[in-house]
Amino acid sequence: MPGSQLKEPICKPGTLLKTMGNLTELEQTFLHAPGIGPVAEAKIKARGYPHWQSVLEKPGDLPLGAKTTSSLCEMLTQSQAALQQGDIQFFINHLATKEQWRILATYFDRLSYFDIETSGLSYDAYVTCVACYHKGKVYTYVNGENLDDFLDLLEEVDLLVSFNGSSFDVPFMLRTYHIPEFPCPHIDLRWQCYHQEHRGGLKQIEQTLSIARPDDLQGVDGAEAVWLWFRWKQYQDQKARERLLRYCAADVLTLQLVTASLLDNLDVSVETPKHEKLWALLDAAKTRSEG
Amino acid sequence: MAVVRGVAEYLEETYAKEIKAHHILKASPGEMAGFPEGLNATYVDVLKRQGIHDLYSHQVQAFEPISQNQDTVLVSHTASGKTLSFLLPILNEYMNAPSPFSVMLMYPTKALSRDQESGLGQLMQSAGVDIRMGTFDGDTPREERARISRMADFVITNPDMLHSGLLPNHNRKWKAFLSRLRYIVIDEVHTYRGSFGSHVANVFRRLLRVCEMHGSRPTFVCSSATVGNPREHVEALFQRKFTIVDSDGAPRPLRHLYMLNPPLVASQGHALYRKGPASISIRLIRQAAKQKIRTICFCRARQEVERLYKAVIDRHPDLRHMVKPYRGGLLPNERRQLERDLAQGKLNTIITTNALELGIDIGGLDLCILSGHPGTFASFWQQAGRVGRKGKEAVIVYIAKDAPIDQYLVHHPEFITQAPIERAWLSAENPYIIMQHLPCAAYEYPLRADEPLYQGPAYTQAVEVLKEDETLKPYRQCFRYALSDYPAKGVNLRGMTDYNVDIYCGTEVIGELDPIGARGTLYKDAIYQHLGTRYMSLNLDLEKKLCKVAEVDVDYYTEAVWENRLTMTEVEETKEVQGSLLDFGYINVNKQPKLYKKIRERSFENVGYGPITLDPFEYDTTGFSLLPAEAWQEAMTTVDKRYIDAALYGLSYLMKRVAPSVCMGDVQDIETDVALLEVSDGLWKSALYLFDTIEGGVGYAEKIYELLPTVLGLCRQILKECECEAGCPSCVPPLPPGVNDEALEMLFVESNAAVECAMSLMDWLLDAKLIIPDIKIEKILLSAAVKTPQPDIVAIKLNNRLKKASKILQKKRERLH
Repeated sequence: MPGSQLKEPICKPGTLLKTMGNLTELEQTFLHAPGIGPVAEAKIKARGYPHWQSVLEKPGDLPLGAKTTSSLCEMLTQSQAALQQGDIQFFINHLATKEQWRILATYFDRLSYFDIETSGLSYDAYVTCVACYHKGKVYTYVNGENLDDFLDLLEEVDLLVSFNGSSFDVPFMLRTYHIPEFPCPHIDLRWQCYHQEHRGGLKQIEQTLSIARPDDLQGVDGAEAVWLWFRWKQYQDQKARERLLRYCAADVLTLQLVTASLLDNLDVSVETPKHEKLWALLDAAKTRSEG
Repeated sequence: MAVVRGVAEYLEETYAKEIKAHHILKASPGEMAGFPEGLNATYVDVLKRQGIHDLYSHQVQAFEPISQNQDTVLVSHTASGKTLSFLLPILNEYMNAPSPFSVMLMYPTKALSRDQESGLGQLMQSAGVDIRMGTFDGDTPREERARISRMADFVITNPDMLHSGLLPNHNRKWKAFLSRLRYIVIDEVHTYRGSFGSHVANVFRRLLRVCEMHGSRPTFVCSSATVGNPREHVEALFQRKFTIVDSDGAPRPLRHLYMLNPPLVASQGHALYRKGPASISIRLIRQAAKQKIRTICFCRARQEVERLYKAVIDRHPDLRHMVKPYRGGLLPNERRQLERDLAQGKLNTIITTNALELGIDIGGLDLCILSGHPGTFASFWQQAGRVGRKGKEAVIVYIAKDAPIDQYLVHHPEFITQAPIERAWLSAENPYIIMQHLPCAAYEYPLRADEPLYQGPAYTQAVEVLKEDETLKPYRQCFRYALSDYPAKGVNLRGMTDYNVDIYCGTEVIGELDPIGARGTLYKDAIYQHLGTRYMSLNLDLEKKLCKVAEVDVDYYTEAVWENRLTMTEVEETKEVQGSLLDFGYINVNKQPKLYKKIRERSFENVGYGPITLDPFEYDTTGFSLLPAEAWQEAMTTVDKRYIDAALYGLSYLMKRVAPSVCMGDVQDIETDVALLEVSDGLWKSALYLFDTIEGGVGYAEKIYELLPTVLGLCRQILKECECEAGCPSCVPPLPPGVNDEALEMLFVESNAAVECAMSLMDWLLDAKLIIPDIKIEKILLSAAVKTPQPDIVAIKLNNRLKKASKILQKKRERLH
């Protein structure tokens, strides 16, 4: 996108999730350095360097050429700084998609999830509602009411997660707001699932991972979401509006469960609220559209 | 060469009395120069193979600055090879470039750009370079658009398409094109003036802003027709310094310029009027067609073109395929067909509006008729320049109308050759216009805290206003466009409306017109002419944007009478001229067409009235009011109070027609009126108002406010020198339009009050001289009028009796069989 006027590094220092030995998952990879592939990384670890700090302390013994060593050290120095400052975008930019689960793991407790519904798939379709799970609450935004408030919320978000957002939700919202990029970093969960051999749409993956939605939302899909919107718009059908927001919010909640399940398969244990508590948020979201 | 002499002789014989001047515009041999040094050898060969062995001097002169990527403006004259002037250096660089760069070619209208495409394509093909070129405008089909934006190196377009089609998609579709944009070629740049020019200036600001984001810094290459200030104009338009090339090395044939003035006649005893140009042009066109002399006749208005065409072919059916009308409002395919026929020589004569003044190749023509002064000298010479083939003499015939400047030209025929060409100017800082483009710019990319192309208070103020009404909302030190619509759609570069009213006859669309024009010419019962056929409007629906018409056969045309209501809502500047108060500020205009007049063709008699029921048309603009000095008003009141209004109406008429030539506006861009001004609580006096007709004002009234002494001086001179005794439409008519006070009318009728009072006011304003008007009631002896043929009663009676007899005989035959 042209013009870097909007692009100051967005730094959000804060708590990080540490696993093995008080280390984040990020600090245990070298794959984001130039010239380091899985083979090289295996060699480095075999030589007794399990994490960044160990390499930076004693770079002389690395099984690498001089150039690769120096660029590795430079990258790791930058990485440490980024980790400290909370420059999440740095890791999204440098880590291959396949390894970005490490970012999700490191910042799991600070993830926000979002999903949008639209008025259809034609060229003149517009966003009808947006749901976002942020810091334990579900926020919903409706076209013509408070859609701009979502942009304000994004200023507080550390890392945004969506399903298929990189192709759909994010570009759609950028067009809606007429901005070149979001104020926060974003990771598309669909591709994380893909790399962990979970293919298909969100609902299919939910099935594979045995995540169940509340009964009343079984079988609701995107097409019904469009219909529900027009019921609300044209006939002021309050029930249709509630069902739509509930459906949108449910998508967002399952995202959290899918992320947790994914990380669990990668041996990263994270804490998620009990399913019942999560679904209870749906009812809470019904009565107000903003936390 | 001798061919066109036939017309000249005919003129001199038939209209000896009307010819007021015969200028000979000298032939010029032209100045040639060899190929410029930097020109690629392959290209030189290509040109030689096409028979071009050297270039005009101005073409060579333009080569250097353009090749060095300097912003350049070429002042070019018709048929001077201007396309080659700018293409040569660009193609030369393209051939030598390591990787292909892109070029944007801008034309003022779709019609012009379509015409140039084939010509340009040929030039480029013959250069042997594989160039991917395309036209990107409203008519480009969807699939084409994708291909062009992805692959074309040379893109032809127009300002409207740039504004609403290209810029909003600069990142999604045009990134590659814009990032390697090296040249922006702008043809007919002089057309970008006034309100339209101000809009285009802003569109280009947005383009340059977007180019900067994509990493390109294109060079401007402009071509301008004759204009008083070509450099100043383009520098105001694009806000950068330009190199100017304004010599003309092309050869010119000898041209005869005849200036004719139709005679004054009386109609039915009262009003004195001058015959229209048609009284001469009809016969002239027929004669030229007979001699197969290729002719173009420029008229001032679309319906005038229609009426003239109809009059020419009336009872001359053999001329139908040789003479054709051309104007805006015809359907696009109709216009393409006419353009083709004209260029290929299938048409002999074309009667047109100024739509054919520019660019379109219309083949070689020999006779040019100007039916009335086009309004500016720039247009005058542009139109006159449309004739003159290599080596053949050409004839230009200017026929004056009953309007002040027209008449001035025939009374001072030497003036035309010395007349200063009007300066073109515009105001890119017009806040109304900036405010329309900022949302578009924000849509393209959020407005940053520091925008290099938007500096100055007008920008900051406009942003403030847009922030307040939440069109723009802050986003990380920038301002983003916060509404959900497509801002470019609501901005029309050419005026206040962006749609057309479709004209239906039955279920077929036969023409189109903008909504303001439609209000004025398509109200119920109005007469509308299209390619010679007369229609009457059955119903005008402005909401549905359509008008239903049906064919009729009548002998009159219609003219609407508008009622203006003016209110000065805010005064910005005040000055005093000899004790007279001039306030400049914001004016609210409320216009309503109340009734229409039916005017018989050819004799201009008023044969009836009818009502018009349409909603008023309202807008806010800038302008000034002129309140005559107390001293002068008192002096007038001691003799006759009505003299004050008489002077104001007279001056209002004169100024409206004279002022546009001072500021290169169109006569439609300025309006004058006499209305009441609240001098103090409860005390209202008459004042003269002058304002821009374009919403928000574009500085015309402002200019006249500044140059008022010049304008008044010109008005006075015209009034002094008019040959009429008591006023006429050429200077100040005895009864100026818009007067609806009976007492005032009584003063005007059959007297020279309008002239005398207007003169008195001007003498006061200019020299502070008090001259009491000397009103005389005149009984004028006039020359023979045009008589509408009296119905031949005897012939009609005989005809009826014969018809009846024939019927009786027919019945008899049936009985017998």
